[in-house]
Amino acid sequence: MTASSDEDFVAFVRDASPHLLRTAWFVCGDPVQAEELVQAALEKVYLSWRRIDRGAATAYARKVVLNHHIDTRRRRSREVLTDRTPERPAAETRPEETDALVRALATLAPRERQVVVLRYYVDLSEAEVAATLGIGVGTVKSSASRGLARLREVLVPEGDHHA
Amino acid sequence: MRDDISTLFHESTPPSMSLDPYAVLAGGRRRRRRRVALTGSALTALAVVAVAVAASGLGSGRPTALPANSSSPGLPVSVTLGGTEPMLDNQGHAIPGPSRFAVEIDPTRPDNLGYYAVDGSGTRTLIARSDVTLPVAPTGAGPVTWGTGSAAPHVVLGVLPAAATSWMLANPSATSGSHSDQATLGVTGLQAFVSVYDNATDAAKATGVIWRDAAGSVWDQSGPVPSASLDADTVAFVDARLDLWGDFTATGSMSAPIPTTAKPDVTWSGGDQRVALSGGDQFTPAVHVGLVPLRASRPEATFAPGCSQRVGPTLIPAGDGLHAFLYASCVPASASTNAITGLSVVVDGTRISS
Repeated sequence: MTASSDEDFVAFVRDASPHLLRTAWFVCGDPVQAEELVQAALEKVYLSWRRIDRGAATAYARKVVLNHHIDTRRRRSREVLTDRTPERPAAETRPEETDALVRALATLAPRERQVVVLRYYVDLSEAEVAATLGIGVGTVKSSASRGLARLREVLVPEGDHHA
Repeated sequence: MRDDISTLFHESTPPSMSLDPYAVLAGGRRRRRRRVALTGSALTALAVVAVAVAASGLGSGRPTALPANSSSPGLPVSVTLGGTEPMLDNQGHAIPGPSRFAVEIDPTRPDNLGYYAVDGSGTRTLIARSDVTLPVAPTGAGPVTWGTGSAAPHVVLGVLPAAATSWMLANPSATSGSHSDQATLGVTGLQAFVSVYDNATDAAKATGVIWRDAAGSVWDQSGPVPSASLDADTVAFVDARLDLWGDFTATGSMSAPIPTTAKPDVTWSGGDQRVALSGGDQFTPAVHVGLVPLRASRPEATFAPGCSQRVGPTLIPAGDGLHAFLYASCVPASASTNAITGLSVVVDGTRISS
């Protein structure tokens, strides 16, 4: 890996990590785990950096993040415990809607959560979501439909459902 | 609902999160070095060194015989592991403690195995002593020993048979990554290894060592492990003693806890494709291995467009009477595409997918 290639990679990480971190946070619901997912995924991206089309680097990194999320859940049967507390502001206040959204996303199956995040946060088309996750378009449609229905149950007050 | 959800996403306020891009770069470089270190062909030749040994530390002390096949009977044999630059954890911070080590076999001592930290000037400081039975048979399980010491709490040092072409520390409780290195201890029939964990508490959780030999047999410290050769480079195993299953491939290794649920449970390896990029536009095969119940049937795989030299999917008995390996492989068209995008089997009439 040449020095200029490494600097390109650093610049890419700097530019892409905010979006990747938010995507990972929506998918896993925890900021520490999101940082770990994106860090590990970008380290893997580095291994292929010389051969990646720069224009597709973010999409590739996003795919690695999501695959790593699924792979990490399969490999660990218990919560990952850290032996030090991440340094964060003592009381982070976020709008209630954000907390409700994250809690609602947590009620979805992992794949449904990924589909919903890619469709309605990353704004990918159904075909793009299918290519990112390596699943069929039909599966994207059904997962998005189930995910939205579940979010409707959790987020919309009873008696206030709209078509 | 769709528009409302999109609005919620885009107007959300995430918690503060950040990455140090240079820490990511360091981590990527470390992964690249580790992949090279774990390749079976990377075992290095040994330089025989006679050193003065500090007589302190731990060890059970069993009488040992001089290696019958030693080219230098009576002389200690040692190797150095790791390097002089600090090892970095996933956050890019230097892991406390030494990064360079020496492992020595001194056949003149009952506690014939010495583990040392090596500083920048080459001075050795004893971490611990132990003992290993010599001589070592050329095949079979062979002696395995490993341990940690208070002088280097992040570190696991040990020896295993030199016949091992790939190895892994069994550590299902570990919560952090590690750096690893190994080197052959001359003609003793052994190789020394080291693993340095990001979290010091992980080093003490190691439960064993699993390795494969050139013939494709898999072993742990207690003996043979049920396994199956899936292709010329890939061997998968199920180790009930250590509660791990996994595989050794041409590009690395993987392990995961064995599923324990009573209902049919299927575990899949991979996620990110293990593709060895050999330069230019040539790629070595991406390998997917899953652990399924032995009664699974009708395997299916979805190969990405352009993926060539497709193999499988096939079900191969794991040899433990309980499981089979689901195997599929192909050569991807490029680095940015998944090679195998889906695997599934039928268990008890239900198709279960990855």
